[in-house]
Amino acid sequence: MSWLARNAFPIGLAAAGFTLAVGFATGDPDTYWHLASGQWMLDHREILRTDIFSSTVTGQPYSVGEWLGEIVLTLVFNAGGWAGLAIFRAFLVAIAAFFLARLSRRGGAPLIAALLIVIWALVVSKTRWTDRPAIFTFVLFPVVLDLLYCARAGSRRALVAIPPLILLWANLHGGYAIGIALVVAFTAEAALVRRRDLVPFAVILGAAIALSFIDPETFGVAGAAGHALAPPRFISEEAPPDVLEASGFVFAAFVLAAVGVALLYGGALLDALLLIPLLWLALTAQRHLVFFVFAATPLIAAGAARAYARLMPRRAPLRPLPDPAAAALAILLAIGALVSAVSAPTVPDESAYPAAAVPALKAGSGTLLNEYDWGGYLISRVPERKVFVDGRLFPFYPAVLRDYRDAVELRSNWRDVLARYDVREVLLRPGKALAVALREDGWTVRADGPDFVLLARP
Amino acid sequence: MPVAIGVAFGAISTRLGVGDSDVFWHLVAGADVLRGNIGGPDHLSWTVAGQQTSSDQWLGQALWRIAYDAGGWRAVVALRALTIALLVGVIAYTALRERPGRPLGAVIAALPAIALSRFVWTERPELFGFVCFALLIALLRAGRAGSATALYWVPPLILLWANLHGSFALGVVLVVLVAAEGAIAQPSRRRMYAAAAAGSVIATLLTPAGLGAWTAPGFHLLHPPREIQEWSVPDVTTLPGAIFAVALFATLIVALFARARAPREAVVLLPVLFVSLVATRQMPLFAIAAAPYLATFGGGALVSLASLVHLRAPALASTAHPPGRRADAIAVLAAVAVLALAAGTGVSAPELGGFPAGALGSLRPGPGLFNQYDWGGYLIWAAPATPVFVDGRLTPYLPNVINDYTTVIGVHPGWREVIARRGIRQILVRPTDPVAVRARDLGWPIRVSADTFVLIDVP
Repeated sequence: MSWLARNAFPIGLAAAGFTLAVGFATGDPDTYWHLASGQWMLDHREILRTDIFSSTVTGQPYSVGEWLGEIVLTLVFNAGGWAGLAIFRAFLVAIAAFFLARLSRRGGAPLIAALLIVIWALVVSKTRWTDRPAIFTFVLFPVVLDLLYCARAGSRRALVAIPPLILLWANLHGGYAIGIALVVAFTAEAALVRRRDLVPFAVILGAAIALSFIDPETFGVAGAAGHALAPPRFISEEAPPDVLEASGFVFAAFVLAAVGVALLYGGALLDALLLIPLLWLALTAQRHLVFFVFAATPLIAAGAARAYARLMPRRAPLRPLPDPAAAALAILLAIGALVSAVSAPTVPDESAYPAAAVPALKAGSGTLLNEYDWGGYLISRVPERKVFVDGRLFPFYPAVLRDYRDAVELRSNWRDVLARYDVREVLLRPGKALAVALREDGWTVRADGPDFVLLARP
Repeated sequence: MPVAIGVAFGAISTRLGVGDSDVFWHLVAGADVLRGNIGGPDHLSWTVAGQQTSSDQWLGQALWRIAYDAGGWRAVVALRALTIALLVGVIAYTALRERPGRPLGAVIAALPAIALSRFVWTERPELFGFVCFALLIALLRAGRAGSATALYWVPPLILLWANLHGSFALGVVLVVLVAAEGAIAQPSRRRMYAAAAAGSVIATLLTPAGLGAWTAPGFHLLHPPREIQEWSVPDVTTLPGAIFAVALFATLIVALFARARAPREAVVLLPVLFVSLVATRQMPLFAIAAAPYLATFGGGALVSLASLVHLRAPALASTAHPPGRRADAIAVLAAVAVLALAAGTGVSAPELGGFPAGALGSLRPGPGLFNQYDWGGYLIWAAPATPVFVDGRLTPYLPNVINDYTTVIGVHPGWREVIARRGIRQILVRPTDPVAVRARDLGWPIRVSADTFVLIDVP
């Protein structure tokens, strides 16, 4: 059987993932500052280690552990613009879908069950299809997980591939700690129940950890752990999952399905070693939902296979397509996906940003206090004005963020904050208490719209 | 042993403060109920005055009021202790019943549920709802195991629950699911299961609200008011969230490694798990439902897991001879004595530190007060001449009053227009609330203030 025919299912899902992902216009506020950081590094041929974008922490050292991810995204953007970014994002989603599809068939799930599970998993993952370095964690997670399953099944080549991937991951995005956690889980299982595999897995784990330190901008496992233990709740993606929202509901379905399969058919030690920590992580913040969902896919798919066999014992499984037909179908779907690249948007979706305020901002001067969510956009569109805060979060934590919230939420010291930072202009949503108070106090409205107001000190 | 465990926790609870922000308006509503006014027009607020109020907790409110009338706050604490003892005792009993020979294992299995129940140890009808839920789990397990008597008791329990608190809806869903599963697995008992399910559904209609009793639980499940802390999304980085996570992870581990498969457990555990994932206040439900499952299968799972990793599982203490009826009677009598003693020496007055007691003398009688949401219940109790803008009853105020409340308290656009339109004359809020900060900025007269509150006259 040819590789194409054998992998027709994952290729088909990868093609579907590509087609779905390529059509979305980027609108993530963090994309802008990542691109600006990447461009600075390309221009200066050095890693950006201090803040250059804000008026509040300018010159202070900071690290977000994503230097390579930012450079890769910037190179893609420089080569293909916003459409290039969309195509690149779709390509990464396709890779994730490919490996997720492979994971879904590990338990021998019937095709239709595996298809449904992967589709729902991709639905949950849609919130992670962003043009940020975090997308590298999104794609490398199923890749490393599938490689580890291959290694567990005896593939030494798969095992050897993991440390270089962790090295790459550590430089692309701070989420590499999850990759190391996966290797720890498989190594722990080897130590406890498959002792003949312990040495190779332990060696690979040691190599992966050692290589993860080869990162000029180390964010570190400690940083990742700290972030997971105390997520900044005021950022929407850091809020715990709400099962009454779409992605939270699908996540809940995966949790219930995992518990249900375990109740009905039991499981293996590896399932516990993988699922318990990832479920805890998912429950801490909705940005982590996808990792539990991806890791639970093999267990749920295996359960679906057993349920199918039990419910329809005499029904023969769907016969696979003949090899040439499967290969042809895979090629056809891949071509279709590539053709869909023409639908890649050439401009970002900036409807959520105060675009109409840009001319007034460019003409203004002095310290600007801006809406947190708009910081990245302003870094890109009004580089001559330093931002007060933006989505990089860590440089502003905790002092600047506390001051920002005190002012915007009209705490008792709000006037002190404005005076201390010598704020001359404020760009906020009109519903914010500070915007209301400043209007009442006679600050000049320099620009406004339904979703923003730019006020200047009189 | 369940009696002893329940009484121990009930006695401990008499040392905990009394004065949940909602208890006050429940007591006032309870007094209305005792006067025969169930679900009548509102007379506690000035924003929804005259509108029909909810009657979904009338019996629960009446019980708290009867306790208060009988013995003041000490009797409220005693009723709370008794209810907590019942709740914890039923949780422990249900777990111990599954593993009568291994009490230590059963108690360990019940610990997450007992610990998590601490967060609902309030003097509100909600506490009765949790007791009903724990009782239902016990009855359904006994019924599914073959007890016809247990199944017969289910509809009366649902009838009681539907009149005590709006959380009965989950119970009815569970009864229907268990009955359906039981009818498939045990065809010879189909009529019994059908009777239990049908009786439970019919029982929910035997309330003052009739079919309307389903309105509140349906609304709260699908549209939980997230801005209220207890209705927020479960957060495992908090203590109750972490305990919930322990119960969930323990269940998953036991399910993965249990020696025997138990598909019927899924019928109860999965829907309860979903409901618990919806809101913080519902987290204890899953832990309560999981306790007997963990007690039944936890030991076997531990042995499987230990043998898998080539270890010997620790042997938990066993009792070969369970105590007889005489010992039970002595235990119950001793329990009553301990609870009475604890309640007699426990808390006898509410904790009012979090409420604006110092502002009461400066409140103007009649409509016009804009008050902090959390203080509405207290003001209903302590300042009956001054009706509230809003209070913890929430649903009567949705959406218009809550929208106006949010606009004013947060100084959102139009806040002064709301003050004018509503005719707000005084503002009683926390000093850190934006409206308090803004009113000070504007020089509005401060009638009285302290660290925790400020009363402002609207000029």
